[in-house]
Amino acid sequence: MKVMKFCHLCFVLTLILPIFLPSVTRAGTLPDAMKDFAAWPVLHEGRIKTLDSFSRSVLYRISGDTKVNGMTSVEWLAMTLFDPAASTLLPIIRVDRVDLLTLEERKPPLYTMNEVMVALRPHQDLLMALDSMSPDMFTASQKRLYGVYAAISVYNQILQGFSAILALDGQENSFTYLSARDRMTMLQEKYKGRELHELTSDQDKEEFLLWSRLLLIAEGGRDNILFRFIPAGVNNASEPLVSLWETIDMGKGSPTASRITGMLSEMVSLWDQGDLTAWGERAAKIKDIIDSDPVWRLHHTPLKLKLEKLYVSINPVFWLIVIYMVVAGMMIAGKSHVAKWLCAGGLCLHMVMISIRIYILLRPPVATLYETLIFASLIVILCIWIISSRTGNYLLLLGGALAAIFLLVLSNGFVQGDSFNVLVAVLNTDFWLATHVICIVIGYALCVTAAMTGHFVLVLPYLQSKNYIHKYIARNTSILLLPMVVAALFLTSVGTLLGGIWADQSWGRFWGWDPKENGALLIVLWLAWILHGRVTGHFKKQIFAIMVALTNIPVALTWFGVNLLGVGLHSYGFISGIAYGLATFCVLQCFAVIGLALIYRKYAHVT
Amino acid sequence: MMSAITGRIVRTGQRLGCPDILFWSMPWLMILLVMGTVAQRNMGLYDTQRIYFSSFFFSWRGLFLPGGYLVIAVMALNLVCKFIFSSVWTWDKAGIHLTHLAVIILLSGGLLTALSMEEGYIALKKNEQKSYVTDYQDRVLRIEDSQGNIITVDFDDLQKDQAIENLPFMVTPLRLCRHSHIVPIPDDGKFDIKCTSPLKDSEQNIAGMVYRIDNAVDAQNGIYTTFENRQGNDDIISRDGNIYKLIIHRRERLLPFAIELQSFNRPVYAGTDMARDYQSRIVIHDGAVNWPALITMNEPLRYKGYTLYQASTWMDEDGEAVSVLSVVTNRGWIFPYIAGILLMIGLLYHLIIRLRMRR
Repeated sequence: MKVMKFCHLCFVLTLILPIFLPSVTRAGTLPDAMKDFAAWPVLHEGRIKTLDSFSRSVLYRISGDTKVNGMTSVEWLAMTLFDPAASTLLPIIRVDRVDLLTLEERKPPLYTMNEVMVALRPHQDLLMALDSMSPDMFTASQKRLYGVYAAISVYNQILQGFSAILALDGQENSFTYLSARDRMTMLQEKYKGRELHELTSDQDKEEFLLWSRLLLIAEGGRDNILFRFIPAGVNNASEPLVSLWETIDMGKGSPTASRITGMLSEMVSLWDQGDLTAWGERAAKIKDIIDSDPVWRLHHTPLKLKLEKLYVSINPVFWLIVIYMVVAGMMIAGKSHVAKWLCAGGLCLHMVMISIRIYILLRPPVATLYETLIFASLIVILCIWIISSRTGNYLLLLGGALAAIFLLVLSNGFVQGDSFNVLVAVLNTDFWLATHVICIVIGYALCVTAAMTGHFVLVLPYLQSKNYIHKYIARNTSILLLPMVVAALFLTSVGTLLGGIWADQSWGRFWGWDPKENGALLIVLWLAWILHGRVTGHFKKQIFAIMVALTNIPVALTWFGVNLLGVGLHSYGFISGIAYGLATFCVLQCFAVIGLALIYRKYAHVT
Repeated sequence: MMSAITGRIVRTGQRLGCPDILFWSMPWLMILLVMGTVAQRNMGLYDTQRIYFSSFFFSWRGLFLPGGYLVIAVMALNLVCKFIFSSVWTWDKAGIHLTHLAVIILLSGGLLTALSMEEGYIALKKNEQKSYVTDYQDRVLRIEDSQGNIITVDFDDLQKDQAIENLPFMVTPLRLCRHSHIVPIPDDGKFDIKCTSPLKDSEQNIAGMVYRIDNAVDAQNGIYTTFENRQGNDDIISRDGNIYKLIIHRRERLLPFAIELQSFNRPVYAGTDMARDYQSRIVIHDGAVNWPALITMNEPLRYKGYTLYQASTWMDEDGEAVSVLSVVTNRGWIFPYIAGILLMIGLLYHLIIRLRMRR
């Protein structure tokens, strides 16, 4: 009966996990007309990505989300480019501390462009001063204020990305900047230095207004280089894609650019007419034009973009979570054989996903927190799968699956729109990423695996007393704990030493008591301490299992906690906003271990 | 007699090598690590390191607690004694012994580094040549006269209300601030200083001093203020007519060679302003020999016991890029490499033995 209760409890736990799933959503479904548009290549943040990834990254920067008002990021981008006036009416700019800008409180705190611009006006002088300062010198409120200003600047670049080919008065067949640009020089000579009220004839006034508007549009287009999707031609090998404004006003045109511009003008008309099907056909044609550009084809690897598109559209993290949840469910239902092979399938998908990332980024897959979490979850589940196969204790798969789900859900919190990031200069070394970082992350994963097994060992007497598992399997699992800790110690200490050698290579000293270094040393000391405690007899079997189970805490503090301090040379890893989550995890972990220790104590004598 | 002494040494060694000592000192080192790491948020790295890690004892909220040096020394002594006097020399324990040896080598390297390491930087503009290193932390008070005679005093050796000797006039520090906030006095063109807590980034800390001049020419006697990087320090005219200046600056150490920056490059990722690398192309001038070298991120230059690595970059007032090369001398640099190899072999061997024993 109690076994059943235990099963029910596990089942309920498994059911609770889907609560987290909405945070790991799959990419929304795109209308058919947008599919080719979403596949355009864009040069952004140092790499060529799909327009889909670009739009996520930009929208996340502005609104803190990759969807807005029920639209996917691609739909939002299309709207912002082809109908900027409508886009400015959408409340999409995230302002977390509204008191800073005297905006009305709203949930979610999203505001329209106009609202934010009006609220920013009184701070203009401060923002100009901040613009010339190093961000390190900003106060917390200045940082937030400048963050809103930077988001507005990004949004503005998108809003004006196609302003050169949009109708000046919003009417079809009227002037565009591109069509009226030839008259600019003449108008400039005629009206420079003059005022509207000085003009008498209606034609002069009309021309003057046209000139003023052209000037305004040209000003908005100056330095508008965010949305780079047009092949640059032979003269610009270092930056293979350029923006529309670069081809029009910055001397980076080419025959391909001219064809694309013509096609874009047609897309503008079709968007105004609401003919999305024809609009989508033009988008497909533009993609064909880009793909057939001879210079672009030299730089471009079509397979990478296709894989990235596939990766973003299916979101393998979502499916991995689903698979591991089913594995956990199967374990609870007692279908361990099915769970084992399903888990193997999950492992294959996990490996394929990481291989795709390696192929796209051409570097080891452990350079960001998101990547380390995904990689560590693979190692955890792989270790557990091997151990459970060797010991015959498939119950461990349940714990492994739950640990992997936890890490994967957590990883999603560190994606900021686009998960494929280029690296800061000091991290841009494949050798050290492939040695030190891989070693440390596998070490962390082994710590999590050992801690998870430690939890399990504490429940063993209970499970054994209820004949839920065989005595032989329980014994086999218990004695695994020590080699697991040794393996974790091996990898974390070698990883820490390699990190010291990397520091010696790039900063000239092996050890500097930097928070990240201290964190790594903390884990090594913790593991060495509990090992010595076990070997010297200070820690009996139960205490040792408790200590191993608590290993999650130093690991969490090192993995995430030290990044919260915002000091030291490892500045590329700084994060914020997870302090409460981290503290809650540590407290819950302590309570969980205490609870399990009490269960152990109650049932140990029975077995 | 001899065997009695040997026996006593062995017994003492065994006692000092008792695993309990390590077992009880490790938690304290962990606590120290956590305290020292959290304290960095407000105090910065340098002061935290000095207080918590590079000290035998430190005071914390009125408590007198053992510092990093003491704990590490105890652990090192314990490990050495354990290694020599209590080790069981069998093959199945070889992994543990190798691991312990690796830790001993690592700690020895740490000791040598603590004793011998010197760190500083050279900031160079294009075509500029320098043959000295500026210290990150140490400051000196330089008193120079119009004839080029210079007296330097360590800033940390200066004492409040204690006059500096061997000068033709009396300089008495009234207020000494290792970290100071400069306050301009309105309508006066002069400055005052206020002692503050250290800034997180220790390079941004400014040392300052308020001092009294006596026995100079009458008009010169009075109270003055000087601080690091101050432009236009006050002239002090002594009774023999010599003009003196008191300047606080970071300690400078001569290099046995000179470095000239030929070019500094900061390649960026396409379409961004994000640096992919920092590269300083330099020329080493060592006597009659000149030779070029390239220093990039993760690729330092080692020469004559000095390691030069790309630390940072900034723009000077004229908008010209300044390449900052950190210069480190560390005689213990090879130890971690040896320790790393031994530790890897030791732990791997031990792991294999454990797994084989289990089977």
